[in-house]
Amino acid sequence: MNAAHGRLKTLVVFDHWSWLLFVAWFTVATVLNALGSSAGAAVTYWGIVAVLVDNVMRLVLLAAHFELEKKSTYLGLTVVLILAMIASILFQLWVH
Amino acid sequence: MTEVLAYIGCGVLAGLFGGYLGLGGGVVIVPFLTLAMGVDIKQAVPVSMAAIVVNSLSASSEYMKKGLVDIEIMVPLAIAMVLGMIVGSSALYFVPQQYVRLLLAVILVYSAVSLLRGQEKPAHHREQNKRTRLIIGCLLATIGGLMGGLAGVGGGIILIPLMFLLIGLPLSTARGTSSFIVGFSGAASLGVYFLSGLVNLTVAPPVMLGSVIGGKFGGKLGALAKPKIVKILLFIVLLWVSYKLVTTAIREMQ
Repeated sequence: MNAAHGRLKTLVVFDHWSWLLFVAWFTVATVLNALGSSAGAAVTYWGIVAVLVDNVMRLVLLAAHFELEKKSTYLGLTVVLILAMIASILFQLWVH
Repeated sequence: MTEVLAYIGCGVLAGLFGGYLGLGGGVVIVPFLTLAMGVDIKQAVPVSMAAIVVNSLSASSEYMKKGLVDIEIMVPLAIAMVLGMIVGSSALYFVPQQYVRLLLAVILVYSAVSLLRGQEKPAHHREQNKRTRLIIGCLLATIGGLMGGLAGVGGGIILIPLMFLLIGLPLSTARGTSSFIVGFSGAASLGVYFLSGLVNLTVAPPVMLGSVIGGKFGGKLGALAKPKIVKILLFIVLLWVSYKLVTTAIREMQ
């Protein structure tokens, strides 16, 4: 139980550090864009990639929590959610 | 420089508002970018989506710290919502959107009134028929996602009344759980806009910066907010979105 809660705590700590990272990242991108630097677009591009990866990482940590709590149904559902997000992106790209 | 500060300010405001209520903040960003800054709607929506995702990361973390995210309800509802949105966005070309907007407006007005009058349910009540209510909740979230995908409305506005009124979660937990879900459904849409090259890489950073900062404080304030104030604010937002849906539908019919 404690280990499982520890995993949720890991998610909170992960969120805290990613929050700091994104504040720094988008501050740099904003300043570079304001100065007219062409690097601003590249920094923003990789910032958005990092945001998307961060979302997947949060789900992976959630899955790890369910695994430790031995809640196999929720673990399976979290995996389905990750796949549904990927399927949604691919499907919408295909449709549009 | 003034323009950049205005974008940051818009992001902060949207982050505070969205984080406080457990919504994404698109209700603030899209009108501000289009009406005040003259950004084209086709660019405003992807930027808004990027801001919603980072807002969710900031705000949901604050709700989670206070134990106000029900992860066991969040996962099935998020799946239902994402699946509904997939079907909704694929049905865009076959279903007359104006009727969906009108129907959704009626549902949102009903939800707004029910939300305002609804009372927090005691814990033992939530445990009764929990599974049945969760299954019905998932079905409604799928329909909500489908209609949201068709009408261009975000998930939070549908999910919060659903979790509060049907599943019986306390309003603060419903908002915390919603702020988590809108990040996942938003990330799916952001991925599409991003891979299609539709995100404006000049406008997005200041709005995202503001939103990530505002979301943190919005989440902190939201976790401590009094239910009565939240109910009134949600009532106003739901009515505002309903009004926008009706006017858009009438314009499309003419």
